[in-house]
Amino acid sequence: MSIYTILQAWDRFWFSEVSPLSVAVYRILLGFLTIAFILLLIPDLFVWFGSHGMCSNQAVADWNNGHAVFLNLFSFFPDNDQFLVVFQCVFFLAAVALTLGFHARVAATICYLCLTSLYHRNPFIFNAGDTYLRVSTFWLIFSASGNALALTGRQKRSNPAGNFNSYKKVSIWPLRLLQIQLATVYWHTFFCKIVGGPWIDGSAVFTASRIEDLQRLPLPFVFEHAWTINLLTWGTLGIEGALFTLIWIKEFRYWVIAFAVIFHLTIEYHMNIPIFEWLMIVSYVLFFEPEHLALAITWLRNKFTNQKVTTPN
Amino acid sequence: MTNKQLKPVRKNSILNELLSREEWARIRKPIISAFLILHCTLNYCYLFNNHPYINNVNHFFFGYYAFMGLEQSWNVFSPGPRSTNPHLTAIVTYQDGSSRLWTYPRMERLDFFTKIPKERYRKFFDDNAAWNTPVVWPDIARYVARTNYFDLDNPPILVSLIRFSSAILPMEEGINKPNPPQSDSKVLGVYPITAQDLDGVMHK
Repeated sequence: MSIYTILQAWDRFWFSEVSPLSVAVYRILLGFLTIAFILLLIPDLFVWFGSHGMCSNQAVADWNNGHAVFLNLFSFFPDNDQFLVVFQCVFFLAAVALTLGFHARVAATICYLCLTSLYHRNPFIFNAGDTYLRVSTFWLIFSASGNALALTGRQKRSNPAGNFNSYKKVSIWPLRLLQIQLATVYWHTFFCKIVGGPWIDGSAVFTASRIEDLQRLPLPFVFEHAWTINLLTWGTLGIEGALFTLIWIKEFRYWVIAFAVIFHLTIEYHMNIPIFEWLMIVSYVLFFEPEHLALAITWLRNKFTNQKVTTPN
Repeated sequence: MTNKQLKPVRKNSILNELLSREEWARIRKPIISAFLILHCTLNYCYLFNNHPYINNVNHFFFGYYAFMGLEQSWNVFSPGPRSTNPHLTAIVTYQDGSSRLWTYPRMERLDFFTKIPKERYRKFFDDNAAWNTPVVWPDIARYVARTNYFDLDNPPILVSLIRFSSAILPMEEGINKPNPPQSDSKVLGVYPITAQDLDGVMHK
């Protein structure tokens, strides 16, 4: 192998061109989940971020050993509940704009700034799903997600007669970053689990099922037999392993995604971790071939509208 | 690398003001490649911080990485799921010597729909405040005092935070058995409440 071959492979992987459809569908789904994130925060907004809430700016600064230089819009208006309300409204509007594709890049930037500010204001209430949402929104800023299925930016794309296969191609590297981000989640969690202990001896799912504050709906039989618990524990490792390896291989991709969707829906049924499972599920769209997405969207449009347009390959 | 596929700088782009089209075409790939390599390396170093050299990289770039909120960790349920069931309780003591018990919305006591927006309480208390974040205990005490200040003549003067927990049985012993009650207790702190802490509380 020569250096030239490596550079060519790098060039092909990061700098080839692709339809913006996958990243546009991802933007819409991520936008819906961001709206859900905002709405779920509203009932206890002042409890978590308010001037008389459960976590002061001082506590967060102490937690960070006094290093308080973080990207945080609340630093400009500390302990100001009026600003908090305005902030939440702007965040909501940005999330709606992101979903609709109204100046998508600006909307993604505002969403990222808001998510990061909330995280730096009170890091103690956010779970892995929130981290994934924040980091994904950051990568989305660089993508041309507004070049398809968007309200603005129509001049940048060509979509004659509603043909979802004919969008002007864009640089692939932001899509690659989003794909790598998703693979990184499973890569890290897989290697943290296989170091030994309950994931290897097959009992981890039993312990997880006994965490009372995480339970949503009961799953009868499954958690009452050692063989089903072993199967689910090792099956989890298998699926997570496939989600950063086999998902890159075309022939296995949709099978891996199908198993992963069942896996996350099972967790969603049994455990109360709002948004996280849905975030992972919608992220699989990043691995879909744009032609397949075009077919699916055309089918949906024909199903729900009177337009009858076929998408040529 | 070939420049054949390079896209021209967009019209009305701020880049047009700074660079000519040819200049941008020449430096576009190296700049983006540097950005990609930097962030992929930082992610790797942060997630797999298992060597002094990697730690040095993290130390050097942590300011940028943390400032941007890009730090991430996906070690959920690893190396094993949490093996305890905790909850946190506060006892509010009033000026006249009476007391009142307070607890937050506990997930296992909420219905299907209520527990969805209240999940943040689980994360805050059960994963963090009940264990390893003493920095928020005084804030919790003040918050509890304010929300339990009902009589102007009888203000809260003391809030005690207590963690209750129980260990989850190992699989060999635990199958088909209920979880043990959360009866192990530990006083996390006792916090005096001042008049200043109660400022701004509205009374009917």
